[in-house]
Amino acid sequence: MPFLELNDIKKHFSTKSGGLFSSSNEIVKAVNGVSLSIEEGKILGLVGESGCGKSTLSRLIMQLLEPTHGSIVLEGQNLTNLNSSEVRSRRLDFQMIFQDPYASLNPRMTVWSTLSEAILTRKPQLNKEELKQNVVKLMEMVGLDKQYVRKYPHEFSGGQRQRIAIARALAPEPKLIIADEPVSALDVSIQSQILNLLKDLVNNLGLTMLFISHDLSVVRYIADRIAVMYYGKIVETGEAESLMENPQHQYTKELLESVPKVLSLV
Amino acid sequence: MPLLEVKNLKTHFHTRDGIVRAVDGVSFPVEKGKTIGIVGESGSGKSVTCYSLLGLVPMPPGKIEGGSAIFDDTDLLKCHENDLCKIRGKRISMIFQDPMTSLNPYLRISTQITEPLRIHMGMDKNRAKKEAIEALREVGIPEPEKRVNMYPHEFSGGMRQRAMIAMALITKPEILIADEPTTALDVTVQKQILELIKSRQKELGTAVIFITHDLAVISEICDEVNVMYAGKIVERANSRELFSNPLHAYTRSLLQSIPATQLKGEKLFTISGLPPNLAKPIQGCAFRPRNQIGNSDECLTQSTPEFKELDSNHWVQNCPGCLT
Amino acid sequence: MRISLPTESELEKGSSLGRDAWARLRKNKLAMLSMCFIGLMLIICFIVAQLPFIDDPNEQNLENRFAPPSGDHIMGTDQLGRDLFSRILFGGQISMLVGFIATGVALLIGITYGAISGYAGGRTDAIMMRVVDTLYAIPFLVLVIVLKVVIAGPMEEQLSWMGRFANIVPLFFAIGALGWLTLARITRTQVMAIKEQEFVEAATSLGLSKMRILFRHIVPNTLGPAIVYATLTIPSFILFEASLSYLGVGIEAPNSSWGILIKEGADFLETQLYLLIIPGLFFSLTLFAFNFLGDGLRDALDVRASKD
Repeated sequence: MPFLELNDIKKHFSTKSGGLFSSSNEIVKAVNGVSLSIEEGKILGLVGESGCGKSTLSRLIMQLLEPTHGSIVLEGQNLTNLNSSEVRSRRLDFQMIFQDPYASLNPRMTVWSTLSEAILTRKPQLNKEELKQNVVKLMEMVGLDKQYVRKYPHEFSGGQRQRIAIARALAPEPKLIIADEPVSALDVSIQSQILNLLKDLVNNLGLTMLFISHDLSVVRYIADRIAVMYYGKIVETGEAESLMENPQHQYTKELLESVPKVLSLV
Repeated sequence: MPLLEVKNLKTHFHTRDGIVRAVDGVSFPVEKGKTIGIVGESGSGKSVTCYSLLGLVPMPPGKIEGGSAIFDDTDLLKCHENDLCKIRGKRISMIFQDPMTSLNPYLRISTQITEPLRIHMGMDKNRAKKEAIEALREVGIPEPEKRVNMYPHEFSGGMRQRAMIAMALITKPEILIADEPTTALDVTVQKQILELIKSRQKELGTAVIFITHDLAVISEICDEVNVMYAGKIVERANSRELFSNPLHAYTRSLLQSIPATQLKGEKLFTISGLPPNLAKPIQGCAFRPRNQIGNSDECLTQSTPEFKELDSNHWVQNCPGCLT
Repeated sequence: MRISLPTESELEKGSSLGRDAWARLRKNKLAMLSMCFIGLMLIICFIVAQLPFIDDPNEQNLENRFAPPSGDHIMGTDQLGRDLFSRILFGGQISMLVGFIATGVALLIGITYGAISGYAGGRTDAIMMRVVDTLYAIPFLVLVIVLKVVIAGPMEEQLSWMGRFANIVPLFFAIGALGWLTLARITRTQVMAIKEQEFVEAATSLGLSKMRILFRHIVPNTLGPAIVYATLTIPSFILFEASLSYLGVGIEAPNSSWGILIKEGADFLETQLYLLIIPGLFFSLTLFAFNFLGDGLRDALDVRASKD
């Protein structure tokens, strides 16, 4: 049984255009029939360009949006059927790392506040000492110097902020992590640091990950399997290396051809 | 004689935290009709370099502390604002990264594209509009007669960038400065925009200064490449030479960090640490604390490494630790 | 495995956005001067006024009317022989209290209302905002008078312990209860922008309750503009009270405020100008100070309210 399974997920947004009295109703089919599965402990890379619906899909899996159709099944449990309080209790099992390290941390909370709040969601009974230990352990896990625990987000660089965001995502001890373009806003030399970190964490903690990106070379490196998304649908899936070397779908081929390559290494 | 010769440009920012040496002694030539790439990460000074050339750096807190930029016998850095205005948009044009914000949302495309023609060449409205429609056609925008009257928000990101390119090239400038023009675009759109820049450049004979952090893009589009780090150029060579024979430790580290160059399953090569704080004066080699690929013990600690031509037209910061 | 925790001294103290803003404010000389001035006014009106040698502001001495400044009366006496200086001090108490308390009430109601409306969105938000729109349309003056009467009645007994402040408090609440409208709108706009940000999505993903997300995560990030507006509200409320008193529907005897002093002074415009000028000066300078402080706060909070 796959760890996470998406069955024919659709998300349609209706936008009312026209004036106060006109009734032209446009439907935006952001996600239009997506079926995916991820095995436990594996990383699935989701590739697509802007507007393909990958961000909407990530919000749907995170239960931040409700699907218009279809089901999301985590470890055999259908999340779409749960009521809101049941969803809240399962939330700790799946967490997200966002793209923008500047917007994904509360600017008014220190590293301590952010991480302790997250830890306490899973373990509200911890006393102050135990909480301190947990926070420090998390920081070390993501490579953050523990002496920065009282600092505010704006005092860190982009890469460090992303580490804090990763620590927050790991704090409630989730089983599934959705990483939505986690390195796209970072410099190349920092990207590789964060990618290494994510790969280590997945291996050491036995996590399952959905890695979303528009950058094919990054996805090729980190993912076990890749799914290509286009206009709300998945057009191709396969093992990472074989998909990159032998793409079947026209769009996948076009994507691969468009990626600029460093000439000497081609 | 190069079209533009930048020598020892220094631009510093006087901030609350100290003097930030954003550009600290940068020199490079731009030959007619060639594409020069400036590659570096955030904080390297690549954008500030080009903003300084066109007088676009806010002063205060910025200040051009020294250097020269000779363009057709005129030193751009010492130019009066009035004279710079005559060059900007006419002989040297610039396009920017974010197509969402670089076009004025309140003005029609026609107004914006014809502006350089009306101001710099004194053209009348009707003739300018005809040229604008042609310019849009040349950059591959379908139905330009209709679209020229639209507003920016009615264009997609890729189309806006094309419109920007049209606007920048409409006066047939001698130099086009492109500051990360494709960073915010999808990879398939990026490919089209890069091809567009290349083809327009060939037709018009414009020199292009292309700023980016993406080494792969540089490799595909540039003739000559400058690699910047901590406000200085650490290496310059023609594109093929740089990628097949990188000399400086930073260039080599960057190339190794690209996921595309790594085998799956192996740990990615990383450059540990962070770029230096430019508010503090740097003694010796700026890359020393992060130099793992070379030999950091041999890096200069007292004097600034000299920028020397070590091979034919291959210039590097002469720091022994970074060159091993 | 025992993890070594950093000691207090090893920890680097973080610099919150608030601290950064304070640092920037301190560099603004005019704002600092204004803040000191306001502080001075507060000290004079509340602390100095309690000192024994300050006369009773209501003590009349009809034989010593319109006296020039002397040892006994630093600023002379008014039309009923009352010491002008002490009247200014005690009047200042009332004016400042109006400013601060009314603003406090407005802040409390406005921020809460705006935050809930903005976060809820949809129909709830639409209805809540229509209420605000309606209240906006009704003349403020009329409402305040009505509200004051309505509150004053039932509250009279509870407030008797406040002594002479007892019949003023309803006025403060009345003003504050109606002056929250703009604060609500400001907060609502801020909240609507911030609730889309990713750190709010992250908080939702942690399963935190909506109340906690709203008041612990969103609202603290909206306070910038609200604080600036509040600093400008204080003087406008003081001014409003002055207008009410001038019209005779604000503060009543035996209390007085700067507004009342100005009103009384205006009666003697042609003969004893000082009765108008001196209270007027205190009044205007204090309002100026609040305005400059508000400007300074806006500049200090503006720059780093968002990412760099």
